Amino acid sequence: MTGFLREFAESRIAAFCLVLTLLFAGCAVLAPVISPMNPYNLSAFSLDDARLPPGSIRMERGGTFTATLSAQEGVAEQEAGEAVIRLVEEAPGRMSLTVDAGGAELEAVRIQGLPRDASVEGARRHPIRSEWTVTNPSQPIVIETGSMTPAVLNFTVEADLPATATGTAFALGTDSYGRDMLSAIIYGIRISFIVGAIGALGSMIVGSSLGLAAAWFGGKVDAVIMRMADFQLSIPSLMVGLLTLTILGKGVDKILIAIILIQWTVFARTARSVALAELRSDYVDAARGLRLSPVRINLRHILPNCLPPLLVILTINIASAITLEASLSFLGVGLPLTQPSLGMLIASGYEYMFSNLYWIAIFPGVVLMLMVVSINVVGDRLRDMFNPQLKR
Amino acid sequence: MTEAPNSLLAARDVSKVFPLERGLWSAMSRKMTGRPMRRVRAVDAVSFDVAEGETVGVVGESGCGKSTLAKMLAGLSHANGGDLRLRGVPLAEVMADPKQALKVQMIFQDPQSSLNARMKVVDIIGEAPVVHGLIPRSEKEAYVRDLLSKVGLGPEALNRYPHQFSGGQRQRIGIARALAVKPELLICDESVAALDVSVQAQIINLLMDLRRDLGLTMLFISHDLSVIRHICDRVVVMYLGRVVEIAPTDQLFSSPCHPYTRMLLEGMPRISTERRTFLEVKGEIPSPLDPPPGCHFNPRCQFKTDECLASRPPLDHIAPSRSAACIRWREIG
Repeated sequence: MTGFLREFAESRIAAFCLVLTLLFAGCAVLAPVISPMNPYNLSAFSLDDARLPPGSIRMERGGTFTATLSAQEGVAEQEAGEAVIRLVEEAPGRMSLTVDAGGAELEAVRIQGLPRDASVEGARRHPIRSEWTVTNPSQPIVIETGSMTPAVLNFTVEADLPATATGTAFALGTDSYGRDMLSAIIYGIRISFIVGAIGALGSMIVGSSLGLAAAWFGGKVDAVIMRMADFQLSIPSLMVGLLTLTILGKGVDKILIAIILIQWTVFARTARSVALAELRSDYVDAARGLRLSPVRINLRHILPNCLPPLLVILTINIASAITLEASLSFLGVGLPLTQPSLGMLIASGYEYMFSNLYWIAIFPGVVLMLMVVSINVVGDRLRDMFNPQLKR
Repeated sequence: MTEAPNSLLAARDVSKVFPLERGLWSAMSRKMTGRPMRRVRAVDAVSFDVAEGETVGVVGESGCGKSTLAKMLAGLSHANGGDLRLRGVPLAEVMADPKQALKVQMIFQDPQSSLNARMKVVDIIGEAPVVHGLIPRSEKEAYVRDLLSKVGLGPEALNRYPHQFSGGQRQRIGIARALAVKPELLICDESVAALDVSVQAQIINLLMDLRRDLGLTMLFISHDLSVIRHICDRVVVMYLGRVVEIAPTDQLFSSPCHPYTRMLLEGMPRISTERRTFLEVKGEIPSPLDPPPGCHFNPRCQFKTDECLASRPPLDHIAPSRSAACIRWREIG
């Protein structure tokens, strides 16, 4: 094992990429532990945090006090949680409103349900509704009720405390739902890795079994399986994926089915060609002479001898499965919006590319690229090592 | 030919034909032109017997169908025609029963490719007896160790892989693998051809010892006449898929009846005569795709007559336990 690693590390780039791959694999395994937020927990997002640039501090929304006042003879007092809201008539048609939130500064006060001709000093009126908003109010707030003051004045007051900074920052910014990009990327790596590894592994199992069967039985079985593979290869893989997912719907399991449908051909062809060479070896005849079952001969005798080239294809196909999943998610047929994968994050950031909100698409894109490139380099290195002609 | 009373293996007119053309296209073109299918008669109506406890050699140049014959006898390929019987039971029936089928085992030519490179010796030898229930799994290691000592290897070989052994040692492992399922008939297909001469002698001695100790019957296929002479009781000489002569070893070497056998023996180097020049085996072996008419040997035969071109000479019984397929054997022998 150490000898193998040493030989592997003769190529510095391959060693670096192996480390990078292992790092991504670590991210995939430890995603729930290391990611600062759970990007699947929709209730934890706040639209206030949407599209924040990298490095922004996460703000906690302050509390809101709400009270409905009913002013008789121009005076009212109402408790709203920990705050006390007081209304005093200073002059006819002129009232002053005090929100006493235990001495805390208020961010905004909204007053709803005032009579039509009333106005609030220093406030902005909602264009349609009867709602007045005072930002950073200087207390007391003066309300002009006008001449038509009813005997009983009913209105609602909402007072917002200012947002407070929390300890956490959005290191890579947030997307349009206020989702922390870093967490989303880490979980995206997890999905990509699971889809890539299980998809390619599943393809290897299905493809190699069919390839071995084709080589073992030959004749019609061989012809049927290999023509199926040829047919499959004549359709662009993305098209196969799009079709499959359109029929089956979204979801990780469906993507895996699509990947296996696309990738089994490569494994089947390789397994068949290697197995055909192995079948000519005397040890297969010896095993047949010892009356071992065909399943046993294939799995215990032939398969281990076919494994090196299949493993090389496996690593390369993990990378291509990841790209495939990203492409399908980018096109909107892959994973649901609630489970963002890297492709999906890139797709959701793509619409903001020209609004200067670069971080939503760029960071997942860079991570995806690094992951695919490093896995490919590792696969290439393995292929070189298993090819005796390239050995020095 | 009638069956000998203690016959273990009996072959009657056994043939193996390989079609050279396959597929729709050639089928269509044959249909249209009426041309017959091209085929190779690798083994052409071969008949012989192997008695219990006997060692029979099969000799011939490469391409004469020796290995094809071996594969048919070991049940690794099916004969196209004729009758193969093991103790009077058709071979196809024997091979259908896994327990019975194990009675015939083969030892291969190339010790490199006949052992699975990714299995340990203990599994290579011990897998089949465990799978077939000859021994319980728990006794596998002891069983293999015992077999290894029988073929002259130590117990340290158990957990090694084939590439850690020399060619001769690997051939010993191959022999142990065959012996593990307690065979009665051992088919050695050029089993020593790939080995160094000194190692060849060791393996031949091992095979002879095992034959004596275990009461094995052996079919020894080789192109090497001196090896055949050393180990065999009787010899079957093959030429282009046909048997040309069957004789006890000493008689074959002292008085060959078929011109092909004579040619082979004359080409054999001998130390005693100190001969420096050899009678060259004349001509090339004809292509099995297009064998000569009549006796296959006629283009190379110095005793050829017009009759030899006309029909295939039958394998005549010429003396007790001797047969030859030559119409002029009386003049030659």
